[in-house]
Amino acid sequence: MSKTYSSIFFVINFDYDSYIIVGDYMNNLIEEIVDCVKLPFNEIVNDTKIIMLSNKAFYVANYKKILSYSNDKLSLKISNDYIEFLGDNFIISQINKSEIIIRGKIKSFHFGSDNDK
Amino acid sequence: MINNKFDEIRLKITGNNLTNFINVCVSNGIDIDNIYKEDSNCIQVNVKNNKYKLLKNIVKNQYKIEIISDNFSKRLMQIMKFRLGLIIGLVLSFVLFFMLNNRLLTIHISGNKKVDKQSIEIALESCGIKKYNLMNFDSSAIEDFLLSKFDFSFVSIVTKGNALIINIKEEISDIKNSYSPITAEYNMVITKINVFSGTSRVSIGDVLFKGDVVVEPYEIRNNDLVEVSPCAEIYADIFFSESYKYYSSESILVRTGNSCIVDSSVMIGNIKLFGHSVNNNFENFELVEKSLPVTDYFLPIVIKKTYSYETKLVDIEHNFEEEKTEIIDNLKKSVYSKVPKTMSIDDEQIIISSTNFGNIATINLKSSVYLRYNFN
Repeated sequence: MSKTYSSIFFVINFDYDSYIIVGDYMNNLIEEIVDCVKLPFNEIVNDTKIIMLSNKAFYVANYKKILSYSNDKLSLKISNDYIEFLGDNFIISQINKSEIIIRGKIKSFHFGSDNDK
Repeated sequence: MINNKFDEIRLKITGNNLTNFINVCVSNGIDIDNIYKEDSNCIQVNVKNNKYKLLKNIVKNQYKIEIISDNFSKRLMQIMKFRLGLIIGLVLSFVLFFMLNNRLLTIHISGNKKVDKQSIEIALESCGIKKYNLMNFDSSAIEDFLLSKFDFSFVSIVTKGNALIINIKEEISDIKNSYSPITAEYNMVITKINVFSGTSRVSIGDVLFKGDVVVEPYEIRNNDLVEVSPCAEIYADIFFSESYKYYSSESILVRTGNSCIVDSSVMIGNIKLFGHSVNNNFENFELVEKSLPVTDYFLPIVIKKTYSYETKLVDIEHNFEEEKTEIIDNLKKSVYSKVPKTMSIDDEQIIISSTNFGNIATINLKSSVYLRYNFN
């Protein structure tokens, strides 16, 4: 690994340009993480990726669908599990079939399996 | 995922299970963004203008869709719709401006008493000058045309803006029927006068100036004033004189070559719109105003600049003796140009007198003449 990263949480100003930078940066980062943890690339590439921009916004790639959405809670189905974000004033800035960007104040998030639901 | 905000519509979606609505949109390839949940049954979303119909078809009667704000082009149309009068007015004014620019709108005729305006206007129409025609006519040609067509002594045509101003002076009435007095044609001294009809106003030795009445056109017969054609023969000495003041020293104001713009302003007619003034640093200066008309069709806008030229007084000394011959030659030319060709000069006198400022050169010419008036 040519560079060392103390954390995968990035604090930057959130706008469209920043998102592109983060997107490119993330691809490089994923490659380096895969290289580091010695996991098979084919398994990792289809896994869900999450990027958090401080507690102001977050980006989720490779999600399946939205399970629930309100101003203070967002649940997303990811492969066989789900991920739940809690916070305030959630606004879905961008959404398409595989990616979602949320703005708002994030308080916490946790993963759970379908069995918990 | 980067969107152009100008082609987006803001929608308000009302219904149950709005999470399903988002999932349906995403799975059908409808890009929605800025999703904000107002309450449990209501969300606001942005959708692209071209996907709006597809969205409506998909959700059909499941959700109530309400447009909050249209896309930019629709909003622009909306603004234009409510300001239709203003826009029509603007378009019309532009059309009128281009149509009437440099076209004749009014014809002002003044100074006519005998000939009525209508006949002048008809005459003008015959040479192609009508209202709303282009103002590309030759003023001097129209002046000549009017002078030849009517008995005018003077016609002046001026164009100002979109108006044609015609000033006319009609011919002076015929005065053949009234008698006019005999008047002095030159400055002269009467040496002899014989009056055959009329009343003499002068006697031998009188000094007359040009224009003075010599013989009145009437006689008093039995206490009655009777008009007659004056008839007389006059012997007189006519004098022609010319003098020149020669200053031995004089002060002339000369420009040094330094200049600056002290004031520049934009004017509409005589009203100053805005301007810029600078302090004049010259002790002695001469101000010259120059105007540059920008346009004179609808708005007489003029850029007026005031230039200040630095000046200084220069004292020049002259020597009279050196220039004497030239001065006398010029004076002779000047005084002989006043003498009619038929008249012979009997005496020529050159007087040079010195004064406290220099010299005065005077030339006097004397001619003895015999004048006859109204001998038919």
